[in-house]
Amino acid sequence: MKKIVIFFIHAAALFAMLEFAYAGETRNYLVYAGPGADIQSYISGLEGFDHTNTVAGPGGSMCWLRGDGTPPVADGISVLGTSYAGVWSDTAPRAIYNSVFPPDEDGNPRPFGAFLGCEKEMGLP
Amino acid sequence: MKRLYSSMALIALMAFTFSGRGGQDAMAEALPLSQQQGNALYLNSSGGDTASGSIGVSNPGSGMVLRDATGIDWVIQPRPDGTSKWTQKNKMPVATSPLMDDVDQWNITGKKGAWTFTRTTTAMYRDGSGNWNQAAANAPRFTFTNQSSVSGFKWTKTGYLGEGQVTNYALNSGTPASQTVTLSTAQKYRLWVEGAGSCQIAAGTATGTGWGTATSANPVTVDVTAGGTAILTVSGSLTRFQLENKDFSTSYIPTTTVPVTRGADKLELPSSGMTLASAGTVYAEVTLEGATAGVQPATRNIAAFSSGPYLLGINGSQFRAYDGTNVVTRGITWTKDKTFKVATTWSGSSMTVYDLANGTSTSGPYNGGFNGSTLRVCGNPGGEGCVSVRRVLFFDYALTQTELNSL
Repeated sequence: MKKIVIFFIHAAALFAMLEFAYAGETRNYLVYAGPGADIQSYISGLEGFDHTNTVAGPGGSMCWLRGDGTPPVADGISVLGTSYAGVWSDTAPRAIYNSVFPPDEDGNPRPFGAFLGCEKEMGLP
Repeated sequence: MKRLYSSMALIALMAFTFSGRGGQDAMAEALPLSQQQGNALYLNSSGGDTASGSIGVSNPGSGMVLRDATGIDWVIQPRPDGTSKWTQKNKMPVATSPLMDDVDQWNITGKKGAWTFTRTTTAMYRDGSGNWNQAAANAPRFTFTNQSSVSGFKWTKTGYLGEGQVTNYALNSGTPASQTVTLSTAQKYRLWVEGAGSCQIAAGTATGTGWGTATSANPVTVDVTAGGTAILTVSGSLTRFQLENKDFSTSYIPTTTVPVTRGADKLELPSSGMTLASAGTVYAEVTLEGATAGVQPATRNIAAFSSGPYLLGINGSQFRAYDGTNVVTRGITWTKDKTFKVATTWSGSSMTVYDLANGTSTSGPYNGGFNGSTLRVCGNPGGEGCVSVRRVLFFDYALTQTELNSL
């Protein structure tokens, strides 16, 4: 639980950092909605961002966004990272990721979607 | 028009005369006028130089102007197919979308004149041989459609390809094989294939209606009412397949190990300098469903304001216009891969939607709502798109049906 709280503090800081660092650049963002948040409502009509397919599990739901600047902040929505490798290499976001989209039998996280032509940028082969 | 042709012949005669020795004096008089920026050289029917005669040549910046006997000025309007036609000078479009270009005519920032284009991802389009090519992110696509069934011409350039964001759930789409896919969202999905074989889509844990077998001639649309898995079973030889989260087919999205999303196309033009609220016209030539799809189109906009109202859109078997309150619809029977000419005009408290191919129209009330600051071709705030659009013209007055037919 403590790890999760710390993660959300880090996530809020990440939002602020991303807003400053990536203003005007086209970027990928892995957004996460907790069990009480509705990711479909969040991405519905989200002007300026495309989104991949969503996945859902016991820990919540998530999808990738791609657009200029940073995604708008919303209750219960946070950014886990900007690439698969980045998310999977950090303990807290990796735990959240795996709670939404289960890892393979060896415990390795599995990707669930990508943007066309951006596969390498997102950390896929 | 006969008078115009006579006038054109007269210009040609004058040019010939000027080029000869006998025209030297006349040219010496004429050139200073014609070279003054903003002025026109008008010649009367006798070839004399007057300021209010019958024909004239304007300054180089505005091209040639002919004035007819009633005082109306005419100019030559270039057309996308390379031909030109005479148009009343005060009835030129206020905006013409650059829809027949080649990709490399756009610079890397996705701008051309006042038009801007964005798409966050790469995307595929058909070339003149029917092969799939890839366009870079922020590069508009100008596509070809197989129109052999409607015009006798096979791969015909049908213009700008505008589509909403779409995800292909079929994995390894370039080497189709049987697989189980996850369709987590309850909505409609389209399965289309290329090749001699077929692909059946059946319910796994998902529930819905419309399950069936897709061939290259007949895609399948499934309405998933509860998310879950679906089973794709490939028979025979397929070269590509696509299972997308739309109820119509869009361009090919290559996949490997995960579902892949193509970003939405966005072609926009600031409309703040146009006075479209009180009266106007939008005219478009659209081709539906491309080379791989079925017949019935879904909801999509051809020309809209980014704020919501759309000047011309499609909903199933209707063309329609929406001013934010009122909807006017015109029924149409689609033909796959055929290019349709359609238009909406509005003036005062009325707007009319035209199916020009069939010479039909429907009128209804208009509330002055076409007053947004940004025009968008193919696409609405939700990212929905349409298929290929060869030409879109915007006018700040309401054209008559006769005038529309002449475009």
